[in-house]
Amino acid sequence: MQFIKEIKKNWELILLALPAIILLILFKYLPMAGIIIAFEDYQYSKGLFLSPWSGLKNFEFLFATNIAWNIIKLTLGYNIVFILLGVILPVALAIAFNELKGTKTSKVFQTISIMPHFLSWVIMSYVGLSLFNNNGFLNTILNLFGADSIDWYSKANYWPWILILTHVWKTIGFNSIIYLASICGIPVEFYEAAKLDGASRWQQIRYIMLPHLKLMMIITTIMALGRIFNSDFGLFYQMPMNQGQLYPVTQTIDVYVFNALRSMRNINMSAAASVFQSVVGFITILIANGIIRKIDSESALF
Amino acid sequence: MLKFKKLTLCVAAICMMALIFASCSGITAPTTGTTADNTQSTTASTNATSAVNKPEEKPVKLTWYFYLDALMPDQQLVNDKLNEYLLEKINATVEMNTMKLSDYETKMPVIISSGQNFDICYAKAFNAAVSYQNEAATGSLYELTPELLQTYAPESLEVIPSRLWDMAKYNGKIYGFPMQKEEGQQIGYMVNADMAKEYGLDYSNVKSWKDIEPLLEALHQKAPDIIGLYPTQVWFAASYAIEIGDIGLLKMPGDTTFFPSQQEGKVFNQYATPEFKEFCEIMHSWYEKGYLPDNPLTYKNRSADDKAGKLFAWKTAYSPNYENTYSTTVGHTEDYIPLTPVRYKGTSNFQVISAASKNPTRAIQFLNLCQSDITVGNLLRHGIEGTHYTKVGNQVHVEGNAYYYNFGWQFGCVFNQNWVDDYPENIAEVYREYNAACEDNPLAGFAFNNNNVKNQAAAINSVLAQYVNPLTMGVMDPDESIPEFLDALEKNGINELLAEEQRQVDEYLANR
Amino acid sequence: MSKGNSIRNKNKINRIKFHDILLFVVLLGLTITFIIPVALIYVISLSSNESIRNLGYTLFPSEWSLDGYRYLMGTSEQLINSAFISVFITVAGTILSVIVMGMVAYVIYRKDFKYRVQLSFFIFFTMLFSGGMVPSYIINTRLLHLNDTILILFLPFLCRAWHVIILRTYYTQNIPDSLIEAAKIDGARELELYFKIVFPISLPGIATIALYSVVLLWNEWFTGLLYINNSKLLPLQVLLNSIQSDLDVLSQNPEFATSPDGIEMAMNLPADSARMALAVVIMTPVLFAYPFFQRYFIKGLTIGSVKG
Repeated sequence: MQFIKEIKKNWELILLALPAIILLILFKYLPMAGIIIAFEDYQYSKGLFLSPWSGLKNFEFLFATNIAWNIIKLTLGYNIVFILLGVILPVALAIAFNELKGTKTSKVFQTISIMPHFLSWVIMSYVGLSLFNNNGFLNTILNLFGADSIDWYSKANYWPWILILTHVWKTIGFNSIIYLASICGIPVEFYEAAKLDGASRWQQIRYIMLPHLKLMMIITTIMALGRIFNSDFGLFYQMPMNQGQLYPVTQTIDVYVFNALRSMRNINMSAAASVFQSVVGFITILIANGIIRKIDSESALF
Repeated sequence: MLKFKKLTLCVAAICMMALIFASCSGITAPTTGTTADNTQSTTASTNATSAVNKPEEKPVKLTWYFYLDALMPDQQLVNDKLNEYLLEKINATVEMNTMKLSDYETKMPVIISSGQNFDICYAKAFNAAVSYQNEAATGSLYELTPELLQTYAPESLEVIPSRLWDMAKYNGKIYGFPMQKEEGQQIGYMVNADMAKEYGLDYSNVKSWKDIEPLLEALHQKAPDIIGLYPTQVWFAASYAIEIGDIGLLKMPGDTTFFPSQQEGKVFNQYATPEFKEFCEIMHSWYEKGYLPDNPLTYKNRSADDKAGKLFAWKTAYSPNYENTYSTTVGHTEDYIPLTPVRYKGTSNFQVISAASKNPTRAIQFLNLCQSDITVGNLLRHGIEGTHYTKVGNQVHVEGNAYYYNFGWQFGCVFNQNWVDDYPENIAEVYREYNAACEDNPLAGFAFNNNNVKNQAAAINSVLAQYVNPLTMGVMDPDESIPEFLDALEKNGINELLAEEQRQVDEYLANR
Repeated sequence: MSKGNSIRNKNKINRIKFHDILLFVVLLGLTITFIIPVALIYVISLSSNESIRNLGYTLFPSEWSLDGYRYLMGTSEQLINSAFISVFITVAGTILSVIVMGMVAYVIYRKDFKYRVQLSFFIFFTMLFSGGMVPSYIINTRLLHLNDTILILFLPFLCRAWHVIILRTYYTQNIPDSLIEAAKIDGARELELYFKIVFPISLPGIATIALYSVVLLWNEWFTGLLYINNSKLLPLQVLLNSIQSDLDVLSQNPEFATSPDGIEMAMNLPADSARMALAVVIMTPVLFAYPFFQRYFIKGLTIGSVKG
């Protein structure tokens, strides 16, 4: 009864939320029943709910072998770097765009900065080929300066840098948009008041902009942590042109699952892989959110 | 924390809703109750005599999914013409849903797994997105019992040799129509014959893959920027022995030429053999000497370079008359040097009927026509006579390009179609001779099931992806890398995998 | 202003100028690194095949040609139809999703909403967990009967958890509680409050989410591939993507690539110029649409209604 009263009291807000709720139920929650595939041995004739239960067996291939642990370490390593850079650099870029004198120039630079986002990794791998191939651009430059050509596609130690740089290059512009939009929400009066108090531009950035952006930065980080076990398949598979010699530094979990199941096409195991990624991401978010809530409860995700 | 409990309760409630709802409405169960069991076939056989073609029934519509390389503008036209013919013959029409291969591989598994209604689709043997053995194992294919075949597809039983029907057996039962084309497997070099003449390279003595070395050397001296060999399909182990799974090999019974160091009847790791080591060493030396492309692993220009006369040799899996068709496409004379005997591989392509089909018997009849009725075969492959082609003797001359497919096997059976006049007149004979000359393969119907060693298989696939191509294309140094490679295999369970393969092979051979 | 001040101001202006130049140079350098690969792609799409074979990828081809685009034009009738479909689902989907997500983000932003935490979690949970392709397919075709309809191309994308949370954060960050309270004291109803007061103020955030929607819907090809058989409903992306999907098959299976079947497939492959033309066609419309969103990112919107 209390519940009905609450609904009556808040009916307008609930109405606002209703379309979203219905859409999510239809397109996200109903199919969630399919998570069960990860825990069973799917038999077509028995359908989704009557197939024999196999417990955690489908998850074993992610751990039971020697190679699997390296892959987990690799994925985590890259993701930690990506998350750190992914929150600092776009913010820096957004502030830089904002500070640039000349709105027209700023707008042009901004539009160009989002271009890389639209290139698929396949296209990027061709661009990479023209850079890193034996007679590619980089080697031509090296030869000009008298250095030997490097066989980029077989030297694994260059690739962490290449991949990180490429990832940043591709995402920094597009990811800075939301921070730029956030900066727009800062009332002009704040800056004017600060100027009157004698604050330099740097101080204005430090004490007005950054605190204002703090919330968005935290939330984005927490949500990125939810994907700590996922990896960008295109980046790690296409960009190194799927060269086996680079696998020690490029075979992250999604590439591993792809290779492992390529000749097995096992629907149970691929479902298990994504459930595993989801569960770990979920736990990570809960922990991160809990920590943030203790420090500053306003900033937590929920 | 109380809030947290409330949250999880909410989520759990919703999931329960979903589960109850879904199972109540039976959405997740297959659409028809046709499973591969005995009750089905007995009903069929009792209805056998009366079931064939009741003209007063409404015509049945069959849905057929398969892939084609290019989609022709007149597809719908031909489909309509075909349906006219089929309505008379079997009181049915067919809806042809064709798509590109990669689209097929993405879409079809989802359609099958979701239990959607369709009748016929294409399945490939072993490792494929729609895998014949996989689908048979999970029960999504309609079983073709001997009675059903006898009643609805008697012509196919004659026209398709029993060796091929054996290949369609999974656990002793047949689940699809084998598609006919060349049944043998052979690997050989394709060489640019014009280039050979120009540079005085005599390839008549090349009998094994190594023998091409002196030619590569001579070519490299005279024309260093021509690529000597594009090294794919080079370590094609199945031509030298029988492949079991992704890594095991078994010697052909009585074979003394290949893998002399291995025992007969014992499944061995192809990458641990001295032959493999020798192969990689020679490839590596060719790579260092410059006979191979600069970076074979990222090399993408094979066809462009071949057309431009910048490539001499490459390896291929052969099909009869291939060198002649290829010569026309590439613009110079191409010749073929066989390197292995012709091994019987049967077929790896099947037309299968879905267990969710509402008209399985009609589908069987249609597939029967694809195999045996030449009107259907020609319609599917060449289009409408007069519009798309004209008959020239017992061959076909293509008119225009509104409907032209290069490969007939994708429609069921190459022998059930007239050949295009680009081929020599006796091409069907050539094919049949080729097929007849194949060495028998005792494991022709065998499919390795890695259910018990799934984890090892997954990890090993990953290791293979890392080492095999770089080693076989000569890029990695075998002295360093092969020991690493073998060590990685060992650490990830190769011995268990091989033991399981051995067990299944022994069982299969014992039960033959 | 007195003279003394103007001199001090001049010094300030000089100091600022150096910073500005430095910033400009750095951003210019960065912009050049962004634009060179993109320019390369445009140039390749306009290069002749000869030039690509002889010179490789270069910004200065030996010969220009429209062959790449001609290849794409293939059946122009189909192309125009598909373009229209794509534009429709992008525009309709964006408008609808901005409305739907804007509303629900606002609801969970309101600290006084009793079920705020539950609803937030309800939304957030969908971000991580998904049933997968097959269960979605089953629900969409057998329960909702959206198979082969235009609705399936944008309906599932209307509510996206990640973006809802970003929008909620934007609201929290930029809309003070006092504004809401003041409006309520003035007697505003909830619906009025949202659409007349909150929505106009949060335009930069809304514009960002709209941009995200445009990018997502315009680039989406998988849904069309899976659910659409009717060629009149095929979005542009599916068409274009299947042009180059053979490439993936061939490049991932070198053995297949040199077999007779593979060679046949390779014969029908688009050349590099066509593939780049494809990328250009996918990329350019959004780049043209972007300035439309950019004007919402204006500096310093004043929340003039709250004083003191």
